[in-house]
Amino acid sequence: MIDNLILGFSTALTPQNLLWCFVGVLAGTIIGLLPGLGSTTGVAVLLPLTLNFEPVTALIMLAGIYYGAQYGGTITSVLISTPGEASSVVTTLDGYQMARKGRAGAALAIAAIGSFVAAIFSLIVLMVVAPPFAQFALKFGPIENLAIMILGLATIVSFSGDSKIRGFAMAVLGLLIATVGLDAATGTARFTGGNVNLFSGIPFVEVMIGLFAVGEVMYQLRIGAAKPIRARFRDLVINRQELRRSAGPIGRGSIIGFLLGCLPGAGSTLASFIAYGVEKRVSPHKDEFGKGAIEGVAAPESANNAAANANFVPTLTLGIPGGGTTAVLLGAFTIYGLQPGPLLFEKQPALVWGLLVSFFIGNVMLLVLNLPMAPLFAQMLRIPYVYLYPLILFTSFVGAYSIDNNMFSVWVVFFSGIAGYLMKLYDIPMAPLVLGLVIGPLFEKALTQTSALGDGNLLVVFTHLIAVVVLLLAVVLAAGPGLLSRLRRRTQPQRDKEHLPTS
Amino acid sequence: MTHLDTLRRSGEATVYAVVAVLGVIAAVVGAGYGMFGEGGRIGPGFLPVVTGILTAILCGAVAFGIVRRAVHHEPEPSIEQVPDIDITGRSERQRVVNLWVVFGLTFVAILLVQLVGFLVAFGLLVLVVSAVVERQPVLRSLAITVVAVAVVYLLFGLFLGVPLPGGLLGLGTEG
Repeated sequence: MIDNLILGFSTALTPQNLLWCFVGVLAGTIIGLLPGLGSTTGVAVLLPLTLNFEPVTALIMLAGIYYGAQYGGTITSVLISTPGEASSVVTTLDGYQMARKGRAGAALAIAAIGSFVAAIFSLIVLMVVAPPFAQFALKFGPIENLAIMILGLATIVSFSGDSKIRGFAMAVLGLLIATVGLDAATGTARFTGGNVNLFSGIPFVEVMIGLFAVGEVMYQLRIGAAKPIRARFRDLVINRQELRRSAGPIGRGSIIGFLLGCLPGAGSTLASFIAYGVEKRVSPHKDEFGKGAIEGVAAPESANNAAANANFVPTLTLGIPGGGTTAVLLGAFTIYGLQPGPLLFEKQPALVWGLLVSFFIGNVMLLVLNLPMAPLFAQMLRIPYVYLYPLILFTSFVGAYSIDNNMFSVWVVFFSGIAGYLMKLYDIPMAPLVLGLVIGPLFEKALTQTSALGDGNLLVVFTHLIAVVVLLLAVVLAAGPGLLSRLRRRTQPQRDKEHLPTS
Repeated sequence: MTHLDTLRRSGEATVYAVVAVLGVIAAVVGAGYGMFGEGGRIGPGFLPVVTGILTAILCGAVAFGIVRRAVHHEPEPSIEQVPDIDITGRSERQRVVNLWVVFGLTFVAILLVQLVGFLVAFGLLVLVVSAVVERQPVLRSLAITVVAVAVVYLLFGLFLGVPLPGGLLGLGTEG
């Protein structure tokens, strides 16, 4: 292990690799700041630039873009309620509220710190247990994945607060919208009306931009111009109490993120939602959630960063991409003539350990770059909203166009913007809708495969131990709090009677 | 209950009711795709039918709850109270008008893309919104517009190589 680490550091710490790692995290941060452009697009767009590089240098730079973009997306989630990726959606819930209260600097700082701690934690685990963990992850077939997705949906219901029925309704609506397009199993076109643009489904990134960015702009216009946020520089810096409150959420978020990130598919998004849900359940400041709780930023940000690193577990050890960006990176591996899989660690130790160590160095760079910059980024909110919102609209629409270079994306943003405005106006929860939309195709695929495995009998789920445990957890999360409070209400009068004075 | 509250409640109930109806339609159309395939396995219509029915039931229940609370004059927790006059002195009615004007201008800008190109269409949107809708000084609005278009051109057009349509004017980055 020590030898491997020394080999990794000696590979990653060459001036050339350090330089390209820095270029990667910087370019990634800038790309993440642009609405619609997440890490997958960033890595795909900049991949051709690295074709003349040494494979290890190219992969270090591309990985830098990956986690740089994650942080860039966080900045826009917090400042203007525009998530760069589905995994940042949940950060907008409390991050944006913190920004509206003049605490944007603290939100960005805790996101940077949480991401850094999670990255380091997940890297250490990745280095130690990657191969055995990958073997364990292989036990997750369609049935277990279906159970995990049900757990994710149950988490939504659990953190929709007083409006559980609304949260559930929106999650189901998200799943319904995700059925638009060609059915993966049979090729049947569903709800497309013959429009070829709809064959590949409703694009969720565009929906996200419309709901969150355009919807928020329109809502702000409706409720009236807010004063520019002129917080003092001192107030923009994170304080000791906020750091103390964030320690637990960062730890829990990192563990949840790593565990779910090892699973191929929507690991990062589910991880951020579940980490938020867990935190809302265990936090002593439950009432502050949704109104600017720092735990609501620390937990999901740690979770999605840990998951981003854990995505490399199946990618490097099994050659199975953990998510969209790692799928593109997997393509890069093959372009450079490398074959990811169990033998990669043996055949290319300098490349693998150099890459893993570069994650550590890249995250240090991100922290050094972003911690002092957080209050500066937050100064953006000093710009009067009358100038800011036309620019948000411009970048949102151009960002949407750049995803597929297609005007269809622009129209999706426009109509999602109207929907987002109405949802904001009537306090209809948006995050469950997005999660339903994101996991919809994976959910249906797992459901179809489960049905095939059980020859049409979905009860086959209960013959798989891992799935049963996960489903039990989902039931506890969804029904537990309600049952507990009902139980408390029943026992309370009993206790009150017992404590009544007898005189 | 004020007239505004009544309007909001009816709007909220309408949104949920419309989604409930969409759920029913989706379920009916989805059934046509075939709920089950060979050997009783799940077919392409299964998820649309199940989620359509659930959407209809859940959204219908929410809409019903809103109407019931309105009839019993109970407060609606989901409706945020907003001030009638904002810091710029605009009334709620003016703000609603502005909001739909901005939506309309955005719609026009998207339609204009094929004609004048992406950068010009959205540059005009920024300029008109700043100078006309928000009544900011024209020169300042123009300066902001020029900077915004230049930044978008450099970042998206040159750095990322996005082929922004140039329309009939040819002022884009495609080709």
